[in-house]
Amino acid sequence: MELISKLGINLGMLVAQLVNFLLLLFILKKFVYGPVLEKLEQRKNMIAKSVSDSKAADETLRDIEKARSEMIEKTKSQSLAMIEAAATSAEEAKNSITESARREAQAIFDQSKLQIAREKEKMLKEAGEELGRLVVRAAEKIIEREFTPEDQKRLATQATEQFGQK
Amino acid sequence: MSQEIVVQTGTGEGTGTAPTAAGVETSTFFPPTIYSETVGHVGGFEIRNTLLMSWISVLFLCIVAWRFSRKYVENAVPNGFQNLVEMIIEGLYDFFHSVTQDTKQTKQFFGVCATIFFFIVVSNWFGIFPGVGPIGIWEMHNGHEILVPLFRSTFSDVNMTLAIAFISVFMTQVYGMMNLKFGGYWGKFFVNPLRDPIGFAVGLLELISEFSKIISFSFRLYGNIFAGEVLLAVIGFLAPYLASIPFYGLELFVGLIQGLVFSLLTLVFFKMGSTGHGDHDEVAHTSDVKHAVIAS
Repeated sequence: MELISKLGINLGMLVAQLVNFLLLLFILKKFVYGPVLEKLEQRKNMIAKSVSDSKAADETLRDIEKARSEMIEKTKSQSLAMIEAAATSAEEAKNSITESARREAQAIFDQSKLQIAREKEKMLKEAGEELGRLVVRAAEKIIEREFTPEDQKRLATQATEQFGQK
Repeated sequence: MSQEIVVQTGTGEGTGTAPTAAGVETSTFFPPTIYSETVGHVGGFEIRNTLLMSWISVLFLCIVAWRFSRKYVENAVPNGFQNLVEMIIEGLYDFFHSVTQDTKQTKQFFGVCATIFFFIVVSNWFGIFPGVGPIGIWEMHNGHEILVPLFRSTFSDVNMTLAIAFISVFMTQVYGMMNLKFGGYWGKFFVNPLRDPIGFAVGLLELISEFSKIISFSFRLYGNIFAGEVLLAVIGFLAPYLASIPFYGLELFVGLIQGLVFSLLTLVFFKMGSTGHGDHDEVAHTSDVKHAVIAS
C-alpha cells in the first residue's frame, strides 16, 4: 500500500477523471461523432444513389433511342406501303376512266353511224320516191294520152321497185 | 523522500530557479514528482495540478466540438474547419474499421476509442505547453521551499491513466456481454474443470489478464508521459536554449503515439472480448494487430 500512497492515488481524483472522460465522451458523441458519421453515411448513400440514377437515366435514354428508331422504321415502311397503294389505285382509276371513256366514245360513234345509215336510207328512199314521181310526171307529160291511169300506176311502182333494188 | 537535487553551477547566475536570494552559489533542480501535487481545496475535495490540466483539455475539446457542430448539419458543404474535423473522424473511423472488420462493431466501439484518442493526445500536447511546469506556487515541503507547478501534464499522474484504463477494461466487459450474451462472454473465463481442465486453467489466466490490463494500460501511459516530463525538465535544466527543441518534437510525437496506442489497444481488446472462442481466425487477426501496435 506504500505504492499507492507514493503514486498519490486518490479516489476523489480517480472519480473526477472518470467524470471528465464520460462528460467528454457524451459531448463528443453528441456534437461530433454522431453528426459526422451520419453525414458521411448520407454522403455515401447520395453518391450511390446518383450513380444508380445516372445508370437508370442511361438505360431510359437507350430505350427511348431504340423506340425512336423503331418508330422511324415503322413509319418509313408504312409510308412506303401507302405510296405503293396510292400508285396502284391511281393506275386502276386511270385504266377504268380510259376504259369507260373509250366505251362511251365507241357507243357515241356506233350510234352516230347507225343514225347516219338510217338518214341515208331515208334520204335515198325519199329521193327515189321523188325521182319516181318526177319520172312519172315527166312521162305523163310525154305520154298522157297513150296510157291509162292504171298503166301509169303500175309503171310507177315498177320503177320505184327497180330503183330501190339498186 | 527528498525530491530535490542540488546541482553546483559555475557562475551562480545559471538558470535562476532557486527561490533564495541572489548570491547563493547553487541552482536547485526540482525534478517532477512521481505523484501529482495538490494545488487547492474545494470543500473537502483536493484539486491536483493534473486534474486542473484535465479540465482544461476537456474544456478545450468541448469548445472545439461546439464550434464544429454549429451549422454543421445544415451546411451542405462544410467549411474549412469542419472539413478538417470530418477528415480526422473519417480517417480514424476507417482505421478502426480495418481492425474490427465489422460495421456494427466499429460504430459500437468508435465513441469510446475515439474519445480516448482525442483526450489523451490533446492532454499530452497541452502538457508540453510553455507555462506548464514553471508556473507554480512556492510551498514549504520537508523544510525546503519548493515550486509546486500549478499545471502539470494530465497523464503524468497514475490517477488519470487509471481512470481511463478502468473505462477501457470495464467497457470491454460490457461490449463482450453485449456481443456474446452474458453466458457466452463469461463462459470464456469460467470453464468446467471436469470437462476441460486445460480450458479451465486458460480461462483463469484470461480472467487474471483482464485485470492486469488495468495495470499495463495505466502504467504504460503514465510511464511514457512522466518520463517525458522528466526528460524535458532535465534537458531544460542542462541546456535551456535550443537544445531542448528536438526533445519537444519527440514529446509531441510520443503524445500522439501514446494516444494512438491506448485507443487502438482498447479497440483490439473490445474486439477480442466481443469475439467468441469459436472464431479463431478473427482472434488471430486482432492479436496480430495488437502485436503490431505493441511493436510500434
